[in-house]
Amino acid sequence: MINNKIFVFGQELASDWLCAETANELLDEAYEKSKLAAEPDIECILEIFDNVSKAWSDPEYKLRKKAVEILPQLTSFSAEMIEEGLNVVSSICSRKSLEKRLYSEIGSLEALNEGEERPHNNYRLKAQPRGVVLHISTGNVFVDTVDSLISGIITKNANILKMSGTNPVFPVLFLESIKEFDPAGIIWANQAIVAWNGGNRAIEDVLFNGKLTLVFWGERKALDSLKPRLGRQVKLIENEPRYSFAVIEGKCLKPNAPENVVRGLALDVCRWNQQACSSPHVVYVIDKDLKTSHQLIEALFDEMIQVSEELPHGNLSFDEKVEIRKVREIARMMQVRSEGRLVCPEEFDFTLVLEYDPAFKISCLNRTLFIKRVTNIEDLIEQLSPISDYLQTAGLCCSTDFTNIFEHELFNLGVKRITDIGGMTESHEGAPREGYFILRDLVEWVAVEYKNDYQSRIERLLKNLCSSPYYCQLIEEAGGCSYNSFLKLPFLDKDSFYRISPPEANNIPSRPMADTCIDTGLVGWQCAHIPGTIHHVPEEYCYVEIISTKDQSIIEDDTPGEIVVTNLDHKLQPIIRYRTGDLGRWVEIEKCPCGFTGKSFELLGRCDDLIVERTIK
Amino acid sequence: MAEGKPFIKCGQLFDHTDAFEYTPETEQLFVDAMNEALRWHANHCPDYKAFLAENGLADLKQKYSPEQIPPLLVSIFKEFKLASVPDKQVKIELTSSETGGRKSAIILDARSYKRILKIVENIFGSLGLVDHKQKVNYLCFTYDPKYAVNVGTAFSYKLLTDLTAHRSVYYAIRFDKKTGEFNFDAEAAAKKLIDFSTHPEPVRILGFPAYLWQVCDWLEKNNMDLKLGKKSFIITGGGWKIHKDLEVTKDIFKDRVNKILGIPHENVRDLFGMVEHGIPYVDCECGRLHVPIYARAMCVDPETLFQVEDGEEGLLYLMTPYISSYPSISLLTTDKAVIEDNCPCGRPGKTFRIIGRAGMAKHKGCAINALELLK
Repeated sequence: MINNKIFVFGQELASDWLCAETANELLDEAYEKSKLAAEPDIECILEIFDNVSKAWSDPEYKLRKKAVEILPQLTSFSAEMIEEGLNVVSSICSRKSLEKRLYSEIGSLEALNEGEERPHNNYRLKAQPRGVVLHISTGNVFVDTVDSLISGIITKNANILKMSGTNPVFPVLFLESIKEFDPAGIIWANQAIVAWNGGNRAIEDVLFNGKLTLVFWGERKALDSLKPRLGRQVKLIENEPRYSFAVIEGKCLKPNAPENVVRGLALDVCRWNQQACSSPHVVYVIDKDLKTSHQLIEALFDEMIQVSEELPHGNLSFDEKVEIRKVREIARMMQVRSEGRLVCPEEFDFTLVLEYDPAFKISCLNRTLFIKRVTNIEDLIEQLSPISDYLQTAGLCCSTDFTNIFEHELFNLGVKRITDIGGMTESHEGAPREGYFILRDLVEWVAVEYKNDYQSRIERLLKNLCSSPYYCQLIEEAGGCSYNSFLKLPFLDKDSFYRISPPEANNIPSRPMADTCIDTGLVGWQCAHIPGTIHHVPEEYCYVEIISTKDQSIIEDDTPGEIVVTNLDHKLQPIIRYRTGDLGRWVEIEKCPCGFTGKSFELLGRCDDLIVERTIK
Repeated sequence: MAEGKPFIKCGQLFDHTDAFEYTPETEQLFVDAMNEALRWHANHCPDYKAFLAENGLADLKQKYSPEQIPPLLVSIFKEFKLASVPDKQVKIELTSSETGGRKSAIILDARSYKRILKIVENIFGSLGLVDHKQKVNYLCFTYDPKYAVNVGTAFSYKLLTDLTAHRSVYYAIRFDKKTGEFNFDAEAAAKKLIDFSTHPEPVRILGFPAYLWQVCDWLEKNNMDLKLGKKSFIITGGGWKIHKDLEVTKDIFKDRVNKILGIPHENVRDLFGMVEHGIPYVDCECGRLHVPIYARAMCVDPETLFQVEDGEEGLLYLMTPYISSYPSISLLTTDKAVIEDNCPCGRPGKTFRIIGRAGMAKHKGCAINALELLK
């Protein structure tokens, strides 16, 4: 049963809907939807994905069952491999994983909403969605296809995904499950999953001349033929196939190859039948002694037998079989001529070839691994240099000292991602898949700049205090968000502290009040050149006033008074004109040797300690 | 052409001039000849002997059926130089015309060279394509052998021009002395053909079909239909390769050349061969590639190497005992094919149809390189 439907921005349509006539319609609708896609709070998007994740983790989930039933017929993957792939999909969608990824690539969730304040840089940084993202993937690994879509969604774009001809099913099932957990349509209604035959000029000429970002995963040749056809307004994110390899330092394999390394390597070779760009083609053993490589191939053979039972290969096509046959026959002749060794079962479950020639070799995949020996790092780098432009992942098993030198060398060479053996084909949670930080490319970084003098910062702070009902009203009464209005705001004492916060802040447990500094944050600091209790005011962080203890008028000269603090950053629990209960007075320091040029005050103790008797202090 | 020890049976087999004389005697001769060749190569090529042992064939005194001899994959000859004769006995060394990577080097000793000349003569003769008294004008869509001395395709077509007497031979892939490159000029080839049509001698056109297609394009554009006649032949080879977009079925091809060149359908023949194997498989009048008695063809599953049923697609596996200079007597090709029998032409034996090149990687053989010259 092959799928015959597609989704186009909230509508379920027949799979052949897209044609020359409807391509413009698709694009126009995508522009409209891109505005809606940018609106929701990132939290809401993550919440929906978290529910999708939970659903797909359940083996009984109906759409998962459907995928397990259909996908082995469409792909060369066994049912077991499909199950593992679906677990990966579930794990990618979890809130924890997506949050980690967003933090690592975008820096914060806030950047995707209102923007992330960068007070010390005088701007607010915003990750602006690019608008419409068109994903074209020719790859066989269905997880990567939906991962590309997910990346587009969590960066709040409207996405058009072109399904690969071989698997026109999984993306549809995946969007269907998003629909299930997104009754308001904040995500799924802004996505289109379509199908057309690659090379269909009538459709592609329309889409390739739209205003969009094109994420392309495919061969160099396809990419080269595509490029000249792209319109001026297309931003291309190109991902051509790359080659990955593993490196094991000989001494890590002595006296015996560690079980976790051998198993890890077997899994990296077997997952996705080696068809991911992060799957190793070659494993290099760094050792003077060739025996170590022989030990590895023997240990790996046993483990591959085991993993092949857990994750069977699935069906091989005629052509794939021919490719494996070629590798085996050449290896057999090498073995005869003492130039290598072939270790494999009779069936084409997997093929291990130890070649004495260390030159990098591209595998025909489908669990065909070359094992090669090099004597040192320099030798290895020399072997990898010819393909340095096409390297992706390096899986390492080396001693710590070695790893440090090695990382440097490999990145210099062009490697995009270094990980441990066993982690090559399975990204760590939240890490960019395949070593590519795609989220950063799916947004445009924009900034709202502002002046940094204290008056401007106070005015901006007031504008941001809408979430506190207490201040909202006070600001209105004071006449707006200007600095002059600020000076009309009442002082804040400890008793009214709780009233100022927005309701959600009260849910946060344990807010100690015992220390003034905890309430307000930093108020003053002492450098090595100022005596006694004199403090410099960190003006980028807070605004300090000294007021008369009698009539609360603002003191400009050196008369002692109560120190009043406004924190320029706190928004959730604003600290506006907070009476610290500390006594202080302004001190004029012409030029502090530390270089500070702002205001300084002398801390005189607590207000309660002051006895005022006429003019005697 | 009787041969002495150790090739008595080989000699007897090649002495059968009817290439399709399938009798119990010729079948037995083929088996015996294969065993002679097996022992020869095992004794003269240490790598081959080790390969046989690796595949469980160590006892060379025993007699084997040809199918029991483990095949060498054709790619092996691109990776390794295997020889069963010393260098001084090499009469001719043929390479595939590919430019990059390792060259496929095939060596022929005097014995193999002599045999292949005879085999070619026998096969084409049995198909009615040999007439040494008839002078013919040749148009060859192949490299000029004067300049492409060791290129396998040029060698093959040189053999084909010797099937008749010639009035003239024109090689359409010309060597440009200034640039040192080979170039194909469709217009010059078309004009040559027009010139041929004004002479009484028949014409034979040999080589890659895509080139002839281009020549037909030129003639059609210039509203020229030629009448080359019933005695003229077209023998195509090498396939369409990178010009898959131009590829048409044999019937369409025959219709077009019949219309534009005036050559009858049954005189358009395709040829399949490979430098590592040497035997030419040639279309009969009915358009089927016939297996001669000097060879055996079957199709196998690429994983198990078990023979598939006739009519089913498999990897083409070819056997012949004639080559004594390198051990390719049992060869696993990378071509997908179907074996058939009962050809309507009435000739006994099997025929096969090539489905295409098998495998995922891009192969760059002679045919592709020559086709890249197409403008």
